[in-house]
Amino acid sequence: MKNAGIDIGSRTIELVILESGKILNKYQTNTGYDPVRAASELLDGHHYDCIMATGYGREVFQLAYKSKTVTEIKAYARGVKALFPYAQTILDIGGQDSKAISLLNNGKIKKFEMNDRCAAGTGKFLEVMANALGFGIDQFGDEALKATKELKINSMCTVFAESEVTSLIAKGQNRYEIARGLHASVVRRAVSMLKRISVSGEIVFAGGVAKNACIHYLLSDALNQEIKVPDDPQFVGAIGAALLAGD
Amino acid sequence: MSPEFSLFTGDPIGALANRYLQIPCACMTPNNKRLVALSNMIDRFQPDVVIDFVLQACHAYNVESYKVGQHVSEKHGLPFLKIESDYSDGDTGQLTTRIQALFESV
Repeated sequence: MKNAGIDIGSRTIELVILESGKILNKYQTNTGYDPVRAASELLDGHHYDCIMATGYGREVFQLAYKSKTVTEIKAYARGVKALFPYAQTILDIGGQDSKAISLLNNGKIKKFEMNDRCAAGTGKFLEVMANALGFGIDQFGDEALKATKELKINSMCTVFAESEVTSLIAKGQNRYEIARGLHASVVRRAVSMLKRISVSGEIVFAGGVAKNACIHYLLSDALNQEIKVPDDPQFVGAIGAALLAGD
Repeated sequence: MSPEFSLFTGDPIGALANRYLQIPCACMTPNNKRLVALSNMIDRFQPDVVIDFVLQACHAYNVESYKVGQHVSEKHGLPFLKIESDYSDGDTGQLTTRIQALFESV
């Protein structure tokens, strides 16, 4: 029995195929402007018995593929519980949204918080800022960790923060310190969201932004505890969806 | 709640003012009437979940939402979701995800 999970996010699409609960294959592509086409190219040539879609593109995918759907919130809860059975708190920061989820001992969702329409403090914010500072998005976190101090960034809005960064550059400030300040602003926002659901027990950080070493470091520092990050944090939603397809 | 009609008071403006002062709006303090009215609605409609819709920029409702959430989950044991939005539809995607996730948790 092969179950597939597809997470159609704002920036990327992940596909995971499970066979008897074990990961058989996983693939990733950019979402672009046509999520259904990008998803069908990703699915091309793969066989599965049942598929479950999640992510912001789940409804448009459902129309084309008659698949079942689940919200990212439930998919992340399921995926994290499979990877970290003792997890009680989840932080997921993706391309354009962020979520904090607290779990009951049986893995069910106790409470969750999600950002509003604004994409401040998400992957998109970091992508724009990395670009403004001339860093690649994959190295942005490592580069920010090289700074010995951080410059405070006050704007949360991506557009305002970019202007703030431009003014700091014009003043001759160090770009590593600006980068560190930008990471700290994302972490402040994430921590306040986590506090609204009240942090308890083991914390798992997932979603594409969890690959950023500086965010991970500053988050552990702010919460004063170890934060677990899965090996491929951006695949957790697709893993959860594939598991739910079989449940 | 107070009677909806006040007859022959000789002071219709005063009667209107008195009625307005009894609405369970978050701008009143203390505003326990809101929780009583909410409990009455929950008993009457037996919902699966309670959603508190805060219109953007109404800070009184926004602040009171914490108390409303506690009341709903502690007194009635129901899943609770607070939403803050306005009359535009720019955030329907995010709202759909949140509301669906709330129902998935039932």
